[in-house]
Amino acid sequence: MTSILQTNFETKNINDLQYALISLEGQIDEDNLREFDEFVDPITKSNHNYLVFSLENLEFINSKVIGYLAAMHIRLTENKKQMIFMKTNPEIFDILELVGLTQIIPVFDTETKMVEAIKNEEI
Amino acid sequence: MKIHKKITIVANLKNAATVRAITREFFSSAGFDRKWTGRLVLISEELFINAVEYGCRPNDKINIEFSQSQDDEICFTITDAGANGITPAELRNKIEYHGSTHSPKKTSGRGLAVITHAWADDYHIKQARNGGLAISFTKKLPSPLVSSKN
Repeated sequence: MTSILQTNFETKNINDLQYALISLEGQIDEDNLREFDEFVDPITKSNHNYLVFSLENLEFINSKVIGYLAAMHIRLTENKKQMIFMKTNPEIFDILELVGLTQIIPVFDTETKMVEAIKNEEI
Repeated sequence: MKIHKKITIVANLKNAATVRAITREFFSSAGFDRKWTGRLVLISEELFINAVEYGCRPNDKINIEFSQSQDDEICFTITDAGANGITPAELRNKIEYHGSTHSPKKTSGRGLAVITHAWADDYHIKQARNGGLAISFTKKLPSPLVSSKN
């Protein structure tokens, strides 16, 4: 049995706001963390100032993945970029909240609320 | 004891998904709701990763035991092969250190110190007969009243 992760990346433009939308579906663990890194690392180095992770269909992450996400957040912040979580399902939000990532990375239920918050410079 | 199961699995991180599938089935069958099943699967995963990374050499075996008592307390135990020679007291000290220095920006040290500490009722570390470390956690199945509050 292997951990299966499906990823999708698109550049979105809403009301003159451009951001990278990264959708994750499945499970991330040590088995496919490198594969995830190879997918997402070029996006972190692209010219997008906002990296939005849609987590609606993400089923599982563990502490290694949380550590990876925390490191990515630090790296992006140093480069004046913003990492955002969107549509987190209850199980994933539960973990992110427990370890405190929701205190440092903004979380939004909908794309509309996220775009408004960026436009209003709330994040 | 209502239920007692024991499995042995090769110490390889590629087996984490298999362990997750087995533990999900166990906790769900024991009567935990979706939220708590997910939480307990994650704790089990953290113990498995810890055993593979710090307690085993390649192709060593890891023992996993589940039990459910008559009063609906579940106990989950993972026993590693004792590859690094760490003592229970040393591991407890590491866990306490990571727990006391936790911050959202830390990139490691959350598995046992934060996740297991927060969601398990209790956990124990002891020396196993094979020389490895046996790490257990317990969780009482919530009553319907408690379950609805959590």
